[in-house]
Amino acid sequence: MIRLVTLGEFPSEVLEHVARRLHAAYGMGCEIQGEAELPESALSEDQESYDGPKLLDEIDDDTQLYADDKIVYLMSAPLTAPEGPMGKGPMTGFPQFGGGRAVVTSHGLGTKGELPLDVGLAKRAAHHVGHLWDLHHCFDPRCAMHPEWSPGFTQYPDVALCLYDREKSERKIKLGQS
Amino acid sequence: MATKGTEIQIGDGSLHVGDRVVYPNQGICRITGVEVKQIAGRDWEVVTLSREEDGATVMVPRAKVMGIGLRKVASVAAIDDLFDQLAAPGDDPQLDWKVRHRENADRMTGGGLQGALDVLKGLHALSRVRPLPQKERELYDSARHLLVGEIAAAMNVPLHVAEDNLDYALWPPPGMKRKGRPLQPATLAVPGSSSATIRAPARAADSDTDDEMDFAEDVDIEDGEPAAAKAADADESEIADRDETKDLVRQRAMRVTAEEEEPEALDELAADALAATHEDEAAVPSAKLHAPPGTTKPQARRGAPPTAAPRSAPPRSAEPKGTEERPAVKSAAPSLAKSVAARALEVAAKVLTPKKPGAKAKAAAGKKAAPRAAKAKAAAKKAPKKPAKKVAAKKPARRTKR
Repeated sequence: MIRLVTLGEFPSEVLEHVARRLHAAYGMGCEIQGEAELPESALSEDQESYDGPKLLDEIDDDTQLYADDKIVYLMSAPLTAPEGPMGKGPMTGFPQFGGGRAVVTSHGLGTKGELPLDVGLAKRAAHHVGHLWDLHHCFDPRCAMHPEWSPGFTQYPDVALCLYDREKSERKIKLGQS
Repeated sequence: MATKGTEIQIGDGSLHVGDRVVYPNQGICRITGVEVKQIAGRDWEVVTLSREEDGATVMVPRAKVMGIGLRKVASVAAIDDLFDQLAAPGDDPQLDWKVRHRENADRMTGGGLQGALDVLKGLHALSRVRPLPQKERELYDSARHLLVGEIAAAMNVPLHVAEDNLDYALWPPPGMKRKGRPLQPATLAVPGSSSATIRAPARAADSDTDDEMDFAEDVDIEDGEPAAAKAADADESEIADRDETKDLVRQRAMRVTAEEEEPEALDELAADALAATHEDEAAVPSAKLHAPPGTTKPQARRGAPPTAAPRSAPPRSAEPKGTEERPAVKSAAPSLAKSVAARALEVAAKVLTPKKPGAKAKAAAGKKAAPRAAKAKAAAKKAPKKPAKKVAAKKPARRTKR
């Protein structure tokens, strides 16, 4: 089961759209769990964005995580993450790779050159849920696991996985359920 | 019985209990100790490792630790050098699949950081030219998995940050710089191509390549595939021809000999039936088989209904209310299976031709002498193909199907 928890205001039709797309992409149940508060302690040093790993650590949420459950937190504020060898790049979400929780932001969606809010949020959520199932980035621009800053990500708004990623996620889901 | 202690030296002395190491093709492990295990009545001193990814325990005979390529996690300097190489423009991909397969297998079994990097970069470059076959797609994913794990372990960053940084080098976002030098932003087109049209990865003619996506084609495809890729396509199809079974070669030799022996008039019905099997092939240029991804759907190639729903998606009735439909899949080129079936039918027609008793003996002789068969084949090319009347009698079923 994929559980959606909002960390802010989102139109209900957008949330329903995201739930439907996730359900269709991964073939598993998806429900809107409720709301939680955004922990202010997770603000980064610049006080303008939230630190992804810190946010997941400090979030106060009662949602139970069972064997094959994944929790996706949806927020609209900008996110950041620790700087890597290539420096800071665009950040649309932060998943615990192979873990159970991910945070996805809608920041920037609906602006010029970006996808609309509902479509973009669904695709971003599907991408980061894929990381929760141990999926890596895919070179196919039509796959939801294509890097989210690449032009292919906005070129193909459909939320779908390539054959390889679909099979891998199905294997992982079955393994999680067993 | 277990002897554990941080002072125990393993391998050439560079590894100790508690070290994080890289196990080739397995990923990051931590050395948990050295134990003596009794296996098949013998005492074996084994090094136990715990795989960080899933906690699985791996036991390696102490004497073989260096032989399998177990090594320490790379240093920060080595990772920095790795990113320099990733961000640098790469060489053209190796298009000879045999050479590529051998090289990549050697690199992966070596277990080195450079090997995994070369595999990833080579296959990444290839994926921009043509889609990867299933095995190479798996190899690409394995190399990526090993690199991401090692980068995260060496730089002490979360796995997702390591993954993103790896792709900041491979698919640089706009404005990304490496050591002050701006990187060329990622495009849908092949890097360096001046064409403004969107280019999807070209679909190869690999028989083992499945079309990975179920989407309708909605991008403009450039006319020209790189010349080197075309040449490789030709090479691979030639190799595929050479991989025919011995039976097929034998049958062909027999057929050629039989044709030399008894040329018969072409029955009208048989000619009709043969023509029917080739109609589709004749109607569409063979280049369709080398078409880019999306232009040929796997379902279409297999003759499946073109509007098949994706496997992961629930049935329409089960899908939540309001779910939009996916775009319908467009009609596709004639299937490869159909052309193979036509070929098989043609071969069967030739083989079933009634032969004079001497023909079979000659065929057997031709089978032993390959040069002779080749000579006979050349002669057969000159002579018109004439299937027998017996075949014509069996053809009505095929005609009805048509």
